[in-house]
Amino acid sequence: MFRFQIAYFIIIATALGGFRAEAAPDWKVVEPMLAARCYECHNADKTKGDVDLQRFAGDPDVPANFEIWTTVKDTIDNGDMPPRKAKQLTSEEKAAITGWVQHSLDLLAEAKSGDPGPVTMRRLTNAEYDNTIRDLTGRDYALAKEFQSDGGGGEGFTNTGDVLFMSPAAIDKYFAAARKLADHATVMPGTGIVFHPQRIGLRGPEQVKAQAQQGLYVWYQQKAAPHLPKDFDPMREGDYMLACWKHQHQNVPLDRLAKDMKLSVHFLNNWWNLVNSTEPPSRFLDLVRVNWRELPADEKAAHDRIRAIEADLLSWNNPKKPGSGPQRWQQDSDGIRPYPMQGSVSGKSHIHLCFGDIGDGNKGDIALVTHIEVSVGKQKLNYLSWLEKTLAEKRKQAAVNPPPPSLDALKARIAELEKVRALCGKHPQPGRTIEPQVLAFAAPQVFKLPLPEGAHWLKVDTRLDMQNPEVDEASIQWTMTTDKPRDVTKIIPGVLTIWKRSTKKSGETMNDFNKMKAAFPDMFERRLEEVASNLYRGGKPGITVYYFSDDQLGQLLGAHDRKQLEAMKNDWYFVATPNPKPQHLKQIDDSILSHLREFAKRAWRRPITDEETKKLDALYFVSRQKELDRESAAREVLVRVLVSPNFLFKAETLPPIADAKTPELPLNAHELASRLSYFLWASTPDWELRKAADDGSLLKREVLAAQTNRMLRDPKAAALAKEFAGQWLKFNGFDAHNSVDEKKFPQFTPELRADMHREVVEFFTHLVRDDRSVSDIIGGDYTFLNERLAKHYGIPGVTGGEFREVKGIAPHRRGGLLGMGAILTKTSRPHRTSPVVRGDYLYQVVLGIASPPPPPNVPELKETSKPSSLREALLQHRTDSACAVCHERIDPLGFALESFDPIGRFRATDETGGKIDDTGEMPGGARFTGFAGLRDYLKKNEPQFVTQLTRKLLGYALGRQTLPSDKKLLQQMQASLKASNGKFSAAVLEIVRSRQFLNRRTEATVATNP
Amino acid sequence: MKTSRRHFLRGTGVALGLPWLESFCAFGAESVKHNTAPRRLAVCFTGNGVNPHHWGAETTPGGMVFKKSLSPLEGLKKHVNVFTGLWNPTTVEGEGGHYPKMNVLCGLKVKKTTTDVEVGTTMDQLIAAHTGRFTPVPSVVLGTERPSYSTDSGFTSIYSAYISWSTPTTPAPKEIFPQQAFDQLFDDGSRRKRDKSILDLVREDANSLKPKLSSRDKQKLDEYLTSVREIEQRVELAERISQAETNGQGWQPSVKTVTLGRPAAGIPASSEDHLRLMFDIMLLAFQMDRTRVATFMMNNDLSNMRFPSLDGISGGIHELSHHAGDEHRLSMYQRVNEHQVKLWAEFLAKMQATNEGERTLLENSMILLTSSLMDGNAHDSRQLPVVLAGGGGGTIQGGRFHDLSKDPNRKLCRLHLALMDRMGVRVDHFGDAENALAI
Repeated sequence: MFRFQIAYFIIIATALGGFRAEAAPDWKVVEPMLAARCYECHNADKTKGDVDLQRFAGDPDVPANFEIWTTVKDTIDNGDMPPRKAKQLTSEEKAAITGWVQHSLDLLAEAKSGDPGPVTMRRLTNAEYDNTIRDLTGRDYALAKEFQSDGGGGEGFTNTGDVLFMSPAAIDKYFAAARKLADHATVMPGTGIVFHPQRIGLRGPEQVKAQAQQGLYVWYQQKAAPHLPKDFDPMREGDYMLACWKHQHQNVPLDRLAKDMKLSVHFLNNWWNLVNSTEPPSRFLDLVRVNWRELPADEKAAHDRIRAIEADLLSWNNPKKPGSGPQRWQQDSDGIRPYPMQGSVSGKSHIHLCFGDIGDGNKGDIALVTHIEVSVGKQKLNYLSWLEKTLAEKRKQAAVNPPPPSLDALKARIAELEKVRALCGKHPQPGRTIEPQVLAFAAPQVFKLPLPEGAHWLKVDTRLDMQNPEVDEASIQWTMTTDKPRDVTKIIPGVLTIWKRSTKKSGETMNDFNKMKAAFPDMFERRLEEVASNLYRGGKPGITVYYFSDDQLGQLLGAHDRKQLEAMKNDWYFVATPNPKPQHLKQIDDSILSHLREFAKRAWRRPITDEETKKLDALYFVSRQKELDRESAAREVLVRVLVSPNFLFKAETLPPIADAKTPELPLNAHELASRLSYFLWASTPDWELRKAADDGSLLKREVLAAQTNRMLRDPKAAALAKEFAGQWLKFNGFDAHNSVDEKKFPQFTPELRADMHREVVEFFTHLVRDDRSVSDIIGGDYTFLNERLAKHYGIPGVTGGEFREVKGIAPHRRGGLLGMGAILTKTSRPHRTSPVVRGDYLYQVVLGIASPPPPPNVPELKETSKPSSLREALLQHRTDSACAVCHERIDPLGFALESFDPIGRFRATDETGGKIDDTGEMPGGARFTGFAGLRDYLKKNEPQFVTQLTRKLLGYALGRQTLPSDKKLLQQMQASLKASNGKFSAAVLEIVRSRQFLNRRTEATVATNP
Repeated sequence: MKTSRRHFLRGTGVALGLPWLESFCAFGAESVKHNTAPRRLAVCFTGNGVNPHHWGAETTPGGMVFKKSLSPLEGLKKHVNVFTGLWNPTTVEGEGGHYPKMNVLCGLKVKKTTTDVEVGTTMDQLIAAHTGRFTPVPSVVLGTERPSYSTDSGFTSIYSAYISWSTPTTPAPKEIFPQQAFDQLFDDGSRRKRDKSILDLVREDANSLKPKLSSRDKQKLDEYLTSVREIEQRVELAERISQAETNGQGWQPSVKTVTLGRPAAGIPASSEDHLRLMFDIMLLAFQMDRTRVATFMMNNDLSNMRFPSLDGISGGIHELSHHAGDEHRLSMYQRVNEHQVKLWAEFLAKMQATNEGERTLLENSMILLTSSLMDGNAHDSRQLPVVLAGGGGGTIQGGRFHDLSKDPNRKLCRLHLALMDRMGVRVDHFGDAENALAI
C-alpha cells in the first residue's frame, strides 16, 4: 500500500509535466500474459508465496484484492518476479501489466475519494514538544533542542507519525526534561502548579513559607503600584479632609464626593475611617483625626482649619526629597547626638527657642545648648563672646553721664542679655553643675533669645541632657521660630522628638509615632509596603489612607487577579498555620491533587478517567510515604504525566469494539481539538478550544470554523510560518545556517543571519495571521525588514532594529520569497551562487515538479566561481540529452536569480568585473530576465504553485503523504483559494472541514485499503 | 497486514536479533564479568564516498603500501587491514544516488518511501543486543549532523542520517551533542533508579492505551513500550555490574574514572573539534568498558559539513565529492579525505596507547572505517571503501591488503558476519550473506 503512494507521486509529477492520456490496457489483454508467465507457480494447487493468481482469471476484483495486485505490480517493477531463472516478461508485457494495475488502482482511488488515509499515531515533534510545554507552563524552556532531531516524512514534514521514533535514549531525554520542568515548579495548595524561570528545587517548610510570603508580598506591590500615588504626585490631603467634612456636615455620600471632587473613592473611604477612628491610639495620629473632628461647622472656617492641619501633616516630610523628613529620622533619634536648631534670622532682633515636652509630662526633658553661633555680615560670632562684649559695651554706654537718650532701650537690652548670661552654667536641677558656657532649658518653655544687630543666620547646638537622672523618661522637642512661638505643651508637628534610645519611654513614643507613619507614609515604596503588609493583617484592613485593603484591591483588579490573590492567600494560610490539624493537612493534599489532575487533563489533552485519577493520586501518596515532602511528591506526578504516552503521543483511539464493517470513524471532540491546534499552532489546545471540545460544540461545523479563524489570528499561528512554511520552503533552521564561507563573506554575521530568518518568518506569519493572499509568496511587493537587513538589500529609509513591513520595493528587486536573503543564501554554495541549486529549489520545492536524480555516470561539469563561465559550462552540459531533460527547465530559473550574490545581495557584475547575465529561456521559448522577469513568469504559473502549496498544506495538516483519494479535496482547496483571492484561511478551512481531517480510519480499513 | 517477502527476509536476519530484550531474564544467572579483556567494535562512517584515485592500498613484495588517503595510518600499519571490492549488491539496483545505498551495515534493500521507513537491523545493533548484557550501555551511536526534512525524491531524507538501525523500521537514536553523549555514557545510573516507579506507571499507561489503537498505531506504541522495558532492565543491569566491579570480579577496565571533562552544551563550532570530541568520548567509553559497541557517523550522507579549520578549503563535503574531475576541487576533496583519516588515526593511536594487560585496547578491538559509496562523484557503490583496524582480541592479523574485487562472493555482509562472530554473535547468515569472510 505504501508503494501505491509512490506511484501516485510519479503520476503527479507526470501530470505536472504534461500528462498524455494513454488508453489503459484491458484485463483481457493482460490476463493471458499472467497466464503464460505466472500461473505456473501461482495457482490453486501451487501457491508460491501464498499467492494464487489463477483464481482471478475470470475477474481480477481489484477493490477487494488491491493488496495482491499492488504486490504484483511492485514485484514486476523491481524485477523480483518472474524469478531470474524463469522466462522473463518482455518490456511491452511488463508495461501492459503494470499499466493495467496502475490504472485500476487509479479508478479505485477515485472511488475512495475522501478516505482519511493511513495516519500513524504521532509523537510530539521536538518543536511541538517545546510549544506544548510553553503553553502548559506559560514559559518557554526550549528543552527539545537537545533531543534527537526529527527528520522529515510524508510530504516532507517532521509531523509524520511513521518517522517520529521512540527509543530508550529518547525516553531518557523526556525524563530529564520532565525532571527539569518539575524542578522549576512550585506546587502549592492555593496557587497550584506554577512554573518559574529559575530552578526551585527542594524546599524546606521554612523556605516554602518564606517564598509564599515573598510571592504574595511582591504580588501585592506589583498589583497596587499602578494605582497608588507616586512620589511628588499631589496627595490632596486637604481635599480628602474637606470631603470627609462635607460627608459629616452636609450628608453628601462619599462616592458622590469622590466623583465630584475627582478623588479616589477608596482613599476617601480610608480617610473617612481614619478621621473617625480612635483605634489605634496615637497622639501623633490625633494631630490629624482629633483636629479634624474638632472642625467647625462653618465651611469657610473649617476650610481654613483643614489647610492648617494639612500643613502640619506635610511638615513631617521633606517636600523636596520624599523619605527624608522628620518622619524618616524619628526612628534614628538618639539623645547622645547633638541636634542643632539653625536657620535664617535676617531682620529679626529675637528668635524663640521652643522646648516642647510633647504633652506627656516633662520628666527628663532638659536640653543643653552647648554652643551658639551667629552670622553677622561675613563674620561668624560666638554668641556668648558677643554677649559678653555687647553687655560690657551697653553697660558702658548706659553708665555715661548724662545718660544717653536711649537709656530705657539700653537697659532693656542689658536686661535681656543678662537673662541669657544668667542661664549660663546653671542647671535647673539642684546640685547639677554644667560647663559655664552651656545653657540648660527644661521643657516646656519658650526662650526669647536676643540677637545681634544685622544677624542673618543662627546655629544653636543643642543636645539632650543625658546626665539627667530622669533622662530615661525624656521625650523632648526643640525648634526655633522667628515669629510666633510654638505651643510647647503639645506635640510640635514636623519636629523631631529627642529621647534616650532603648528606653521604655522611647519605645512607647516611637510606637505612637509609627501609627501616624503607617497612616501617612512619606514615600511611594512605603505606601506599597503598607498594601503588601495586608499579608500579616489576617484580613483586617490597615490604617493607611493611600492604600488598598484586599477588598479594595479586589475591586480594582480583574477576576483573574482576584482569584490569584485568593489562591496566594490560601497558600499563605496553609503554610503559615502553626501546628496544623489533620483536617487542615487533608485540605492541603486535596487541593494539590486537584491541581495535579487539572494539569494531567491539560497535558493529556482530554478528560482523565476515574481510574487514571486514582493512579495519579496514588503516586502522590506513595511518594509521600517515601518521605518526600508534598511538593516533591507532586513533582513526581508532574514527571509521570509528562513522560506518559498520553502526553508524548497524540493518540486517536478506537472504540472498544470496533465495527469491522465501518471503514472510518469520526474523531471525538478532543482528538479534533488536538488535530486542529497541532495543525495551526504546533501546540496544545488552549482554554477556549478545550472548552469547545469539553462541551462537544467543536464538532459543529460553524464552531469549528470560528475556532479555526480565531486560531489563525492568534500569535501562536506563527507556528505555521516556522514549521509548515519553514519545512516546506527549507528555511527552518536558517538561524543556524553555517554553510557560508565566512572568510569570503564576513558580512554574513550571525545577526544578519538572524535578521534574514526573521524576515521570512515575519512574512509568513503575517500571511497567516492577516489572512493575506498566497500569491504574495511569489508576487507580493512587500517584505519585512529592519535597518540592518534593509541596508544589506540596499533599501533606504528603514531605521532601527525593529522589523516592519516595507512596501513598494519592486524597484529594489525585492518582495516575496524570491528576494529574501534567507532563501537566496540557502540555495547558494558556500562561496558562490549555484543556478542549478536555486533553479532546482524553485522547480521542485516551490513549484513541486519532481525532477529525477541525476543519472549515474554524470558527465563532468566544471562549475567555477565565475558566473559567466559557469553559465557556459551549464549550457554545454545540456547538449547531453540525458541532462537536458531536467537542466533545461531548472537552470533558466536559477540564471534569472544570478543578479543576487551568495548572501543575497544585488550585484550587477561578478567578482572579476564581468557583467551578470540574468536571462533565462525555458524550453518552449518563454524568456525572462532577472528578478522581475522571473517573478512575472512564475506568476503566470500560479496554478502550479498553488497545487504544490495545497498538497504540502494538506500533508502537513494530516501528517501523512497525500493520496490519490485526496485529489478532490486538493481541487476544492484550489478552487476556494481562487474564489477568495488567495486568502490563506480558505485553504485551511477546506482542510479542517474535510472528511480526511474529521475522521480516522478504523482497523477494518487498515487491513484492506491503501 | 500481510508480511511481504522482503519483510520476511529482514525478519530472519533478526532471528537472533534484539533477543536480549526478551531473554534478559535468561542471563540473570550469568556473570556479567569475564576474566579476559572484552572485544570492542566500532564502525566509523563518512558520507558521500571518497576520492577513489587515492583510496586503498596495494601489496608489494615489501608488504602492504597505503595509497595517499590512508597515509595518516602509516604508524599503525601493522594493526590495519585494507579491503577492496566489498559491496552491498542491493545498492546498485533502483534509482537514487544516495538513499538506496544507506544500508552499509545490513545489506538489505532500503525501502523507497517517505513514511514507513525500512532497512534492516544493522550488525552493530545485533552485536549490541549480545554484548549489551555486560555493559551499562548497550551501544553508543554518535553523529555530528541532524537529519533534514526533504522527501521530494520519494525517499525520506532520514535515510541519509542513520547507518545504525535497532529494528528494520527504527533507526538507532543518534547523538550529535557531545554533552548528551557524555551524560548517556558516564551517568552513574542513579537518575534512572529514581525513575523506576514512574516507568512502571507509564508502562501501564501504554498498556491501557494499546487496546484502543489500530494495529499500525500499536506498532508505534511498541517502540515506546520496548524502550521503557529496556530502561528498566538497564537499571537492574547497572546494579549488577557495579556490584561485580565493587567485588573486583573478573577483568577490570584499565580506566576506572571519567578522565574527560563534561563537554559544554551545544555543538562545537568547528567540525574538527566536534569530531575529535566524539572520538574521545568513544575512546573513554571503551576504556571504561561502558559499552563495547560504537557507531559513529562522522558526517551524514549528503552532508555539507565544512572544514573551516583547513585552510583553503571552500565548500561542503557533498559538493566537494562532486568534484567533476576539476583538479582544484579534487585536491580540496583529497585534503578532506586525509583529514578524516587523520582524525580516525588519532583515535586509533590513543586506543593503541591504552594498555589492557595482555593486549592494548586497539588489539582487543575491531574498528571499521567505511562509506556508502566509493566514488561519490559518480554515485558508484559497486565497491565500498573498507578499512579495518584492530586485532579483534588476537583473532585478526594486521598489515594486510585484501583484494576481493575478483571474488564472486564479495558481499560486505560477509565481513559483518566475520566481525559479529568475533563479538560473540554466531549466526549462519546475515543480510544477504550466508558465510563469513575469512580474515
